[in-house]
This record gives sequence, C-alpha cells and structure tokens, in this order.
Amino acid sequence: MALTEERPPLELTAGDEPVRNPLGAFSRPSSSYGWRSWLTTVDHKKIGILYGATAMAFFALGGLEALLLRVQLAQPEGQVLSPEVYNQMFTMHGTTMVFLVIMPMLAAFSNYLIPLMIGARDVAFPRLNALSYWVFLFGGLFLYSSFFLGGAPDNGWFNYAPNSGVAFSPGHGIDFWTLGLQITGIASLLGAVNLITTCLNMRAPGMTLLRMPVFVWMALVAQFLLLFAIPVITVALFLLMFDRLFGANFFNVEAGADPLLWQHLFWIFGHPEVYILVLPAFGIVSDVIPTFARKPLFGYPFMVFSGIAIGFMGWGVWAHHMFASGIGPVSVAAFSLSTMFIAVPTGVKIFNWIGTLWKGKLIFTTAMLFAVALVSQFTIGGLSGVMHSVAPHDTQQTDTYFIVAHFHYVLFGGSMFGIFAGIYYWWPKIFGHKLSERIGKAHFWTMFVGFNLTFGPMHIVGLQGMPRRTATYPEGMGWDLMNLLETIGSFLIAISFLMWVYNVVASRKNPHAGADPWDGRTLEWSISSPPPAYNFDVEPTVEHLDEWWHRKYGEDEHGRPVRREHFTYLSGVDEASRRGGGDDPDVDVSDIHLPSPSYWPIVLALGLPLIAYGLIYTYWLAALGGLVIIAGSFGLGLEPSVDPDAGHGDHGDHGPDDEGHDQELAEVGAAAGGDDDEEAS
Amino acid sequence: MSVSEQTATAPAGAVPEGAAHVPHDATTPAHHTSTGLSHEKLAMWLFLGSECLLFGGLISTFLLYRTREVTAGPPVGDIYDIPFTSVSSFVLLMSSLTMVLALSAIQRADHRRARTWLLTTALLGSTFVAGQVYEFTTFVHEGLGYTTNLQGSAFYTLTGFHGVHVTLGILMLLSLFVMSLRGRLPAGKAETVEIVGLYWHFVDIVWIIIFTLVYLIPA
Amino acid sequence: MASLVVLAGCASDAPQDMLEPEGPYARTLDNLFNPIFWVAVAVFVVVEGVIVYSIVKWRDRGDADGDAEEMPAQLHGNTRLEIGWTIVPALVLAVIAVLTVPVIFELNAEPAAGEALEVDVTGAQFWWGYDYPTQPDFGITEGIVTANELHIPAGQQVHLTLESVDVIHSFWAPKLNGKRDVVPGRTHHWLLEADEPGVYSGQCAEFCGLSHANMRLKVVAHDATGWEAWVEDMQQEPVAPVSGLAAEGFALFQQRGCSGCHVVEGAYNEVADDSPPSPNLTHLFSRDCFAGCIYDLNDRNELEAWLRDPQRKAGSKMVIGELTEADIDALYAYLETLE
Repeated sequence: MALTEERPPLELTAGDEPVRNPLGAFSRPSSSYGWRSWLTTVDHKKIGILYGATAMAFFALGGLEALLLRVQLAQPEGQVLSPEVYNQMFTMHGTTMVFLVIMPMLAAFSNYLIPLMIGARDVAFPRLNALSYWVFLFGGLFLYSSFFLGGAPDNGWFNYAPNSGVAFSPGHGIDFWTLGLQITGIASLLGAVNLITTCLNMRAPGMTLLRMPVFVWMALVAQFLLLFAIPVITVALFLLMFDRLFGANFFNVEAGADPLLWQHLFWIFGHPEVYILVLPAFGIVSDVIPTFARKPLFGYPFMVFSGIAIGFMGWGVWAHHMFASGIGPVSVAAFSLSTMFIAVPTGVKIFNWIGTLWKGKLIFTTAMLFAVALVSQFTIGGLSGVMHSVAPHDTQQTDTYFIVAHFHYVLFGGSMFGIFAGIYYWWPKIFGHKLSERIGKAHFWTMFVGFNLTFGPMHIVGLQGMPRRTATYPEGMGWDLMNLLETIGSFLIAISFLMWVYNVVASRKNPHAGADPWDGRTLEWSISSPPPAYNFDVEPTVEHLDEWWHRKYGEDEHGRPVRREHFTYLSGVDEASRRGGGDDPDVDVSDIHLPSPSYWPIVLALGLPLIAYGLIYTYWLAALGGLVIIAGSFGLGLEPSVDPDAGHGDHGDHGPDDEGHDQELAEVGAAAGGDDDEEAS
Repeated sequence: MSVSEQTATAPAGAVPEGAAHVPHDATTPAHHTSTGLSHEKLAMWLFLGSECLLFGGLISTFLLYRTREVTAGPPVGDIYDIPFTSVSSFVLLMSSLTMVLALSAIQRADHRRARTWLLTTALLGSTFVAGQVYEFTTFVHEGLGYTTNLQGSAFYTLTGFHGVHVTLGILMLLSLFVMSLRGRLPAGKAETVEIVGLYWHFVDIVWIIIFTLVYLIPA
Repeated sequence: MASLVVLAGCASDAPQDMLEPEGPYARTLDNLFNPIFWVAVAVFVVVEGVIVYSIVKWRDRGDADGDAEEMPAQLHGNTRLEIGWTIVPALVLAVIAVLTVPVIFELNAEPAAGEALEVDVTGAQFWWGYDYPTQPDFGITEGIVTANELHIPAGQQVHLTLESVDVIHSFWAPKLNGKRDVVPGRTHHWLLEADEPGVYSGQCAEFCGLSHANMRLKVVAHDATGWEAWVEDMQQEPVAPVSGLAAEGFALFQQRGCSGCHVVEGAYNEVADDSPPSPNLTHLFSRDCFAGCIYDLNDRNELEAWLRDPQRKAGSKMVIGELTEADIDALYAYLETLE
C-alpha cells in the first residue's frame, strides 16, 4: 500500500463508506432486553458509559443551578432568587460539579479505558465496579431528593462548622448533604480499591509501569489520592452527622469545640480532591495531544513523575485554604511555601505539553482544540494559584471572586475541557461513530468564548473586592459591568452544552468510524469499535510505550516513522479498519470467560439511601436498609461470579444507539447472554 | 518501583502462543497478576491503607479534644480503668496469635485445628468487644455519656468505631468457620483466611495505637 | 486577559478595590503582590505566546497536492530541557518565597502596648459590634459601644480583637488590610490603619448564613479634631425626651420590647437574658447606616421601612410586631434624638 494512502481519515468525513455489517458479525436486537442489561451489567465498558451518562445529566443540573446564580447576579440588588434559594443553589452547584460531575466523569473514563489501555479484559472486581456505580447514582439521587423534602443543603460545598450545626441549620438540608456524600464516598472508595488493583495487577505481559499510557498513570495517582482522601472526609462527615443526629459535641462551640477542626479535616480531603479532579484530565490531554501532534509525548517519564510529585505534594498544602482563619504565622509560612512549590511539577506538565506540540504536525480536531485550550487555560489557573500562595496577599484574595475565577480556570478550563477532549476523542471507540466535527468545533468555540467571558471578568471583580457566596451586591461598587458580562458568558456556556447534546443526537447515524479513526497510539485503538465484551481476542504482549503505534509504524533509515504493511488488530474489527492495513486476528475466543451480570449490586446499593432516609426520618427505615444490605452482601458474596449455567457473560451491546450493536463480533462471548436475544445477521 | 522492575525483567512474549485459549476469568485469584499478589490480597492492603487515615482522623480528633477543658461531666482521663483495659487489650493481642495458628493450620490442610483456632480467635475478639461494652456501661454510670462533653463524644466515637471493626472481623471469622464446616474452605483457599487475618491483625495494631495514645499517655 | 486585569486595576472607582490600598498594611500587601503579579503576567505572556506560536507554526495544513506525508520527527524528550524548566520556575518561586515569608510575620506582629488603639470587634448574624475599652491616651475615658461603623483616627495603628457570638465571620476592609476570620470560641487579632481621613467600605467575607451578603461595614477615619469630637460625642449619654412625639417614641421603645434587646445608655441599660445579640443604639443617629450597613440612615424611608418589616433583611432576628404609622413616626422621632 502506498504511503500516501495510509493516513487514516482524521476529519469529519471519516469512514464515508457505510460499513455496517462487518463479515462474520452477529447483530443482536436490543429491543426487548436492552434496559435490563444495563441494570445488571458488570462490564467495565457499560459501567463506564453509565457513569458518563449520569455525570452529564448532573452536569446539566449543576449548570442550571449556575445559570440561576448568574441571573441573580447579573445586576446589583438582584431579585430573582431569595437568599434561601441562592444559598441552596450555590451549595448544590459546587457539590454537584465536584462530586456528581467531574469525579464520576473521570470514573467513567477510568473504568472504560484503563482495562483497554493496559491490555486487560475487565477490572479486577467487575461486580464491585457495578456496585460502585449504583452506590454513586443512589447517593446523587438521595442528595437531590432534598429539593423535594424541605430544601437542599445551603451551607456551601465546604459546609463550615458551626453554621452546619443544628443550631444554625435546623432543616434537613445539611443531613442530606452529610449522608449523601458518605454514600458517594463509599462508591469512590470501592472504585479506588478496584481501579488501583486493576492498574497494578492486570497489566498485559510486558506492560511495565513505565509503559502505561499517561492517562492510566494519572488515573492511578488520582485513585490513590481518593483512597487516602475519602477516609478523611468520611471522618469529618461522621463527626458532623453524630453532632446533628445524636447530639455529639465535635463542633459545639459552647462545649469548647474548635470550628477549625472541620476546616482541617475538610481541606486535608479537599485539596487532594482538587488533584483528583484535575490529574485524570491531564492524563486525557497527554494522550490526545501526541495523537494529533503525530509525535510521542514529550518527556514521558517526567510527565509521570511530575504527576506523582503533585500527588504527594497535594497532601501538604491544605491549609492554604485557611490563610485568613487564624492558624498562626508559622503554619501560614509553611503552607505558603509548600503551595508555591507545587507549581513546579505543574509547570513541568505545561512545558512538556508544549514540547509535544513543538515541531509536530498538529491536526486540530475538536478533541485537540479542547486539549490545547486546557493547556492554555490551566496556565492561567496555575498562575493565579501562585498568587494565592503569597499568603499575606491571600488575606485579600481569599473568599473573593478572584478565587472563584481561579478554581474555575482549574476545574472548568482544566478538568471539564479535558473531559470534553476525551469525549470527542474516545467517542468513536465507545460508540463506533464519531461526533460531528463541524458541530464539535462550534461547540468548542462557543464554550471557549463563553468560559473566558464568564470567568475572566471574575478575576477583576475579585480584585475589586467582590466576596463570594453573596446573594446580592449593592450598586456603586464598580462590579456591575463585569457581572453582566459573566452572566452573558454563562449563557454562552449553556448554549455550547446544548450544542454538544445536539451533536450527540445528530451524530448517532454517523458512519462507522473503524477501530482506529485517529491513528491512535495506545492499545484501545487496536480493537474494534466498540470493543467486544472481552476486549482483546489475544492478550497483547507489550514491548513499547505507545505499543499500538509501534505495531503500526516502523522506522526508516532517518528514524522517520513508516507505516508497516502488516499488523494485526487485537480483536475482531470491521472491514473499514482492515483497509487501514491491519489484519484481523485469527483466534478462537470461545474460552474467554467473563463474570456474569448480577442483580445484587443494584440491590445492595439500594440499601444505603434507605439507611440514610432512615437516619433522617425513622430508624425503622434504616433497619430495613440494613437488612437489604446484609441480604445484598450475602447474595453478592454467595453468587458465583461466573454463572455456571451460562457459558459466558452477557456483555453484548454497546452504546445507546442500536447501530452500535451491529458492530459486535463477539458472537461467542455473548452467546449465552440471554434466551431471546441472539440472532445471526 | 520494585514492582516495575519485576515486571520489566519478565521476558517479553513470555506468554505462550494461543494465550487466548487459556480460560480467563477476571475474578479468579489464581490467575497470573502483574505484581504476583492476588487481586483480593492487594485490595485488602489498599483498603487497610485507607483505614489508616480513617483511624488517623479519629485519633487526631480525640487527641485535639482531650486537652480541652470539659464543660460538664468528668474528663475521660479520670475514669479510665487501666488494669481492666490492659487485660482486654491482652486478650485482643492473643487473638492475633490464634489467627496466625488458624492460617498455619489451614495451610497444612489441618481443618479441624483451623476451625478450632478460627473459633478461638472469634471468641477472644468477642471477649474484647464484651469488655468494651462493659467499659462503656461503667463510664456512662460514672457520668460520661456520649453527649456529656467533648471528650466523651470523641472517646466513644473513636473506640466505638474500633469496636465495630472488631465486630465485623468476628463476623468474617465466623463465616470462615461455617465455610470450613461445610467443606468450602479447602487448603487451596487458605488465602481467604490470610486476607481476613490481614484485616484482623490491622484492627489489632490499631488497638495497640489507641491503647497507647488514648489510655496510657496522659493528656 | 492580563491587560484587562491591569486596566481594571488602574481605572476603577470600586470602593473595595484591593489594588488601591489606602493604608500601610494594605500597601504592604499590595507591594508584595505587584512584583508577583508582573512575574505572573510575564510567564503568562511567554507560555501563551509559545502555545499560540506552536499552533500557528506547526499546524498541519495538509498536503493538497498529495505529496507523501511527512511524519514529524519523533522527539521523545530532552533531559536538559526538563531539568531547566524544573529549576528555573523553582528559582523564581524561591524569590517569591523570600519576599513573602517576612511579610507573613510582619503582619502578625503584635503592636507594643499603648501604641495602638484597641477595639474589640464582635461578629454576629448579620452585623458588626465595636467595643472601645477605656483608653485615656486616645481620649476614651469611658468605654464606647457602637455598631457597623468602625470609627478610627487616621494615621493611627488600630488593633482589633475579633470574636464571634455565633458562626464564623470574616472582618474585611480591603483598602486598609486583608481579612481575618472571626471564629466562635477563638480570639483573633488584626491590624488596621488608614492614611487619610475618609470612609472605607468593607464586609463580612466568610459565608455566615442567610444574609451573608448583607453583613457590610464601614470604617470611618477621622482627622485629629474629628476624632476628638467623635469620642466626645460618644461619651455623652443622650437625654431622654420628656415631651412631644419623641417622648411617645421613648415610651414605645420599651412597650414594644425594643429595650429588651437594644441598649440605650442612660435609659435602657439592661437587655433581657434571652435577647439575641443586638446593636447598641445609644448613638444610632451618629451613624450613616444600619442593619449590617446595608440601609442608609439618612434616608428616613429606609428606617421606616425597617420598622414596618425588619424581615426585609433576610435572617434578621429583630421582632417588633405590627406598628401603626403613628407608632413609627413616634419611634422615629425618638431614635432621631439618639445622636
């Protein structure tokens, strides 16, 4: 095959030829059993999709709350929201975006991609994985049910004591917050144990730690942070819960308690949490940028070690959230210094991304646009972060919109842009077709402008002394114009989100993209899109970083990459992908056993919100929840992971769109998934 | 990084041809893993790492508040019964020994002894929990309830959490005992006992720390 | 973006602009911030510049004529560069650290005894109370209690002792200093000083509940004569009116339970035991604002509206029941005498 023809299509027009029914594939009608399979699945890919879909639904809710905040603040003396509602909105906005959007979104990517990237067939504990998802979902729904049960929590996502106590917050809102976060915390902890075990234990032969894709590395560091951060907030939540429900004294100032205890516990969790939210996004762009720069990631080992360094240093900076809280000059100085120097490994990351762009052949797909936007926007967030680390002046900045601007540049300009880069990049892998690049670029530019218009001016009003968490502000403070601009920007963000939704809907009939539409570098591109339930026909043996790239490309005498004439895909692929030059593997997959679906995870998870409602309303309900959990635990524990009556696990369909199922090649792996759902095409 | 070296030195392509024909069950512990540790054991280690911070947070809270003046009721330091708690601590410590014996028995496929030691461990654990219930009851009679003062809240929360951990461990031990009775704990599954043992030893060690920091070292 | 920030810094008439300090403490902070801000701007320009340059320069323009596609050189990294861009930022940060740490201790230094005017500040939902202990050096021979408006002499160091009666608040007058949290169960200290006489705007900066946005404050700095006059005035007990509308209001003040919570020295010195913390009204009309400094006391309508419905400020703890317009007129007439 001539060199000129080898470059896979990278633009919207990819896969013009509709290759719908690859040879040898069996399609499975999904009409009658589809929804049920999602309730019982233990497939890491389906669970990843569930996490992603749920997180984006919460993103819409959290965004709606943000819009209400912005409408209220568009003008001085706003009258749209009462202070009661305003406080609930900013509390739920923050809580939602952190715990119910970015964390699960990164769980979605981690779940879906880690096994594919390290050459594994699933995560270490597939059923525990399903349990994590359902626990997370019920935790989120429980938290949101507070809106219908007397009012949502209204003390901010940081929920400082003693305002969180019964004396100052007598409603049930704070109880919902406390219990809801404990539930989602269980999900995160289970997920962390599961994914760390997966990363450490399930790597394909030859996949050494320093051959793992950077996304896997960053997800691994983030999961370690979760492993150690979740118990700390759990302690804080327990103490608060015991105060509120049983009259303990942990935050009871009259009994001599110190309200700063809450702040320390919360931020010992809270600052690692920031890196939990942003490191996986760093990982995403570290895989996206090399693909579209057509060259390997610059300084891979430095990227890995800087990520680990951030993970470690992230534990020593928490009190920079408390520079104004009176912790004493020695502590302030120590935390000021540690905060400054965490900028060093962060800077290393920025520079290496730029090094990757340097002298590349940059292809600006939507994914690449989002990724490069992350690099430039995170730089702004990082620089304002260094300004906060200057503790004396932070006594001016803290609790103003300057901080709000900073962390939105980190968490929206960083994490969310990284997430959108990942969504556009891996969409064809997950669903078999690309999202529209044309709509995608419109989405990107609208979001880019909207984001900067919303959060850029917040730097200015912040420096002009506008405090956070204020439901209203008077005229004559010089903040009016900037606030109006911010509100306009927030509506642009909302429009851009709708463009994405439209893109998802409009693109669902897009032609099949093939296994490797972007000429990717990592193993997930070596298998069909969507991948079969068992992922790999053959467990890959890894010899390189960027293994898949090295299987596709050799080097000529000048060290330039040259595409090989022959290489083998690692699981059944469609004809479109084969035209890229690779061969189908020719192996028998009939012996691959996967865990069978189970009802127990969802049943077990249901017990937790029951206990939580019970603690608020009546202990009988809590007892019922406890019984459900005991029954669920025994059910899950005694049920064999692989159903002995079924030859293989049912991991059949993928994606919300029926077309996706047509791509399934896994006729054997899916053979016994159900009694009514098999049909040769 | 020893893990990385270990796997890095494994010859590439060591997996035999036709690896796909080897039955692959993602949850079978016997399956080859990159670290050599089974998934379950690694997961338990990770979980225990997480638990360290849970107890770390609770112990720190207690240590912060034990130095504060109490506004009502007795300070907890005044009502400790150190000899009594020493005995119950010793009982818990001994249960770690019997746990080791249980594991060693099952590895030798000596199921009768294994059951004996499992049950002994559970009984020693129960004795400890019973001692804790007695201690709590005495303290309440001496005027220190859960809500009486800061120290009461911190003390009962910390030691109560530990007690719940011991109780869960007892449940696990009893489950192992029942499994063994039904012949579902062959020597090949000795690792299950080892993993429960890890948990049990961890809970023990935490108690040693609590006993030292909370009971023995004066405020 | 950076230029926008700079523009805002130069051209603002924002009364809480932290970039326009009007006292030595705030200026110390600003002087520390300025070089760091410009370092950040320089880094920003360089980094974003390189990103934009890369995007433009290395963008794949496609090979329209169908030439064989050239892959870029497959650079894997460069250890020297890595070391360089680890060390250089670390050095820059080290400089920032050296600038920062002394200021941390400087701002926490306690003033020598007798040098500073002492004021005890109380944070309460949702207003500020100020208690000036007896300090003959500053003309205060008898303690002064006031609310929301902190009066200080210009050019004079002021040492605040901060305490809260309920939840965490944060005392902040941006042009005079940064903020310091006011934490229940703890006693914090903070310093203020204004260069010139003037009125400086500020507000509670830590979320404290329903009316956090409505917990504002003013710092009024006087010249020497102004200060003396203010102290003099504040140490005079108001004379209870004996006739006319004001006298009716005086009686109503007690009948309506106002005196159960609000102290008016000389007339109503004791409040009820179960009273929520309430502003001292002895010299109410010496102030320009009330109710957490969100309403203008010079506008008669504002106070009347407040008396009609104290809940117009969310979370207000004031309870006064239904008043007739005549009652309001009388109460207003009385309050007006409290100068």
